[in-house]
Amino acid sequence: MDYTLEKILRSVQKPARYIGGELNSIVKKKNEVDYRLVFCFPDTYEIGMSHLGMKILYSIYNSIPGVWCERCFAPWTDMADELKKYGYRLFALESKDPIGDFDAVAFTLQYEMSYTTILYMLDLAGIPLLASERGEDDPIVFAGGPCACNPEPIADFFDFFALGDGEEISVETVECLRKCKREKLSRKDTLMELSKIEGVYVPQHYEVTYKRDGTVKAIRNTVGGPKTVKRRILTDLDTAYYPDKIIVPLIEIVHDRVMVEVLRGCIHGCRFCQAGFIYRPQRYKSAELINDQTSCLINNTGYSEVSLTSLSTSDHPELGDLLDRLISWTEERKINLSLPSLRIDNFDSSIIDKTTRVRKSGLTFAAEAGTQRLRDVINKNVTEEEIHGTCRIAFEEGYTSVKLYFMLGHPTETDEDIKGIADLSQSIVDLYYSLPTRQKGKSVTVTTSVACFVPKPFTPFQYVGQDTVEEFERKQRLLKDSIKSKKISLKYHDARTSVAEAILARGDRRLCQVVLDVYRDGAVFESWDEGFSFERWTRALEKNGLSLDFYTSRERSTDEIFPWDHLDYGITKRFLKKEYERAMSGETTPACTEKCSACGVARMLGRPCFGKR
Amino acid sequence: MENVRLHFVKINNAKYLSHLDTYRAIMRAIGRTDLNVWFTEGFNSHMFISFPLPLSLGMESTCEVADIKLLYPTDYVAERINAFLPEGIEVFNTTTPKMKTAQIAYAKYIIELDDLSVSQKDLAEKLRTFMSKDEIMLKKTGKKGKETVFNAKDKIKDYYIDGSGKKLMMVIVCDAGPTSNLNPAAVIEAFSEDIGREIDHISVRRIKILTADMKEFE
Repeated sequence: MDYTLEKILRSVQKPARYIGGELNSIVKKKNEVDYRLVFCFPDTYEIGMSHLGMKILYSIYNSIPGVWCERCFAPWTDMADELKKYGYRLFALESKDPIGDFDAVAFTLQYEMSYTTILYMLDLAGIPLLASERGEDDPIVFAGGPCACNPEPIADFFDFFALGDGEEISVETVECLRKCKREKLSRKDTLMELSKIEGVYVPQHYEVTYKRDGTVKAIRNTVGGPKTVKRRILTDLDTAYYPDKIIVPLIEIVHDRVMVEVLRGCIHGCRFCQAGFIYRPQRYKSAELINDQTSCLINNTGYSEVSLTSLSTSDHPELGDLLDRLISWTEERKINLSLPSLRIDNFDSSIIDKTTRVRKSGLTFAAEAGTQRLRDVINKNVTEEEIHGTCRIAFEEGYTSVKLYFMLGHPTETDEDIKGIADLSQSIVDLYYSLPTRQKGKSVTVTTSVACFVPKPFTPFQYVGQDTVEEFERKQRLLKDSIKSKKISLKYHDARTSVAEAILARGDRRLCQVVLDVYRDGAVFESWDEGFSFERWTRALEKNGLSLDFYTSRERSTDEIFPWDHLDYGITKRFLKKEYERAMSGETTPACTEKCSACGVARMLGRPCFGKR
Repeated sequence: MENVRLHFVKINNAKYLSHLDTYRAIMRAIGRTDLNVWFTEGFNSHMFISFPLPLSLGMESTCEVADIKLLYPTDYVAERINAFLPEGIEVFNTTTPKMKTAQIAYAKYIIELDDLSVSQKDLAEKLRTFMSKDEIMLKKTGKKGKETVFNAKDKIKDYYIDGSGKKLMMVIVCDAGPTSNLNPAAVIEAFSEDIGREIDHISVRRIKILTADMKEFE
């Protein structure tokens, strides 16, 4: 480490964020690699290192001989100030080499509010922000992750996007990039080669024109390539790559535990939930494999906690068997099991019993809406009886607090639905006191956590107009006034952040300039309260002659061309329209495993999603 | 139950680990071994590890100690733990504790300074002048944010400056432990402020933990 970096590290908080050297981090010999890339997470070390996708991709890239993948996180503002003060460029953790000198720089797009932090990192690295301004010596900058399903608001900053599951496309793209580097192909030719890989979207190959009303008129491939880009689907999780070692951070991170993905995708189709559609079909790993992967990772890391992650872990068809296998060795070794995503409608006391042997953690259930009518609209197929039943089990197992999760601003929501949230929370409090088995002298806490609904692409609610900030705030006040009991602890999110998120979620390419202006206006770490300012967004929109309402509260017609219509996630627009209409008439749609609703993913797969494996 | 005192070094990049992170790193390394360590029996059962004299962030050490309890005597404890420790932390000896934490009174440090724009002779002279003052007043922020000022010289038992090597070196013995403690890095910070420039390279390394009668802590 040179004197300058030493000096910098002496004057920043938590210097261990920037030093690398963790157990299982990978350092290769520079003369033995011919392609170097860096995986960037546009948030702090503690958040980025908690991300499972990064662990998988880091491991995949480094399994390729000759390729070295390092890591880089957004340095906190104190570190950025020091880097600027000494003219020290943003560096990768493993080698401390500046990321601007790498062959490729990859970002993961996990949430919209991280976009300005991407620009902050590129800037600190000395990489031109706009893809069009990058020269032959600059790295290829690309991204993947859930927000890549509509990357238009950041299209100008990236050379390409990788759509869908990353396990295979990561290897294919890096091999292609290596070949192009070996053959000394120009940037332009390299992007042309990349675009031949299924799942690769090169935004500069597409031209977008707009109608007078501001909506998209047409999206055209200008280089003779495909009209639409299909996302990648990993067909079998049992044979998919999964790391046997993960990096063990030296400092405490947000999710400081072993994470084993048990299934991907979801069978339920809640109409607001983007993940429920873009990760279809649901695919699961066998109980045996999950058990093996868990034991391997525990042994290679020394963690004493494992989280079985997925969108909905209790949907795993072999959950009981899986938990029995795990408990047979974890309990004795004091290893705690946690199941973060449990559904209300298939919860039983054996799950509580098996996951609290070592340590008891909190229970959170997503009810999403306060009344049955609205839960039918959003297709959250849980009933009030099921919510009560689940909470009763929890209380009977000795829990004295539960957390309920809701959203405000669902389409067709009335004030009655909002009061319904208060009523439902109250009925859980009453339920606790009605139970003869409750622990005497112990009070109950129902935490009611309320988010603001953000309409997302590839969901049946992509047509819906979002509530305005004022409307959200009125609803929050109404809810607050409807809650009478001190046993209910109400928590709600800042409406402004959700509205800013909504601008980007369904935004178009004209927003690239807005994102740039917001960044230039000082925005960074906008997913943190201290980093966010709504005024920056309204100012930048105004400056660019764009309207907030156009992107957020405007209801979109079902025949509108959307900015992401050239990206094919398998879900057809016909299905989304039909689901939207069903929502408006309060009709529910059964889970994929009960009845196929013909969303289009089976066609993309070329076979039925379920049945024969 | 077997009390075991781990003697370890914390050098190179490991100096950027805070005390709490060091604690976690060692706890995890032990978790990865097959050692049978004692867990506390409270509501939130966790591995028992005790550190008699925590090290400040940014300092290296060749004389750190941590106490654990094993359920029964085991061989090769150091080797087993070392296999899983991060770079820069290494257990070099294990002993049965002879002394109690309260017996710690002093610690000995080696400080190395290097400044690219000032001659070494010059820097040594300045440091000598600074150290020979009767008063080196340092600020200390208490737990409630209250600032107090104290004279660091009262806590310095002995020091020695050597400007003949490649880097300027100072060996210092000062108060350590729960009753009175001095962070020698703060003295260097004050020196840096005194000469009005940021020193390019500062390394502070603890080399001995001592009792009131200057015996090594065992």
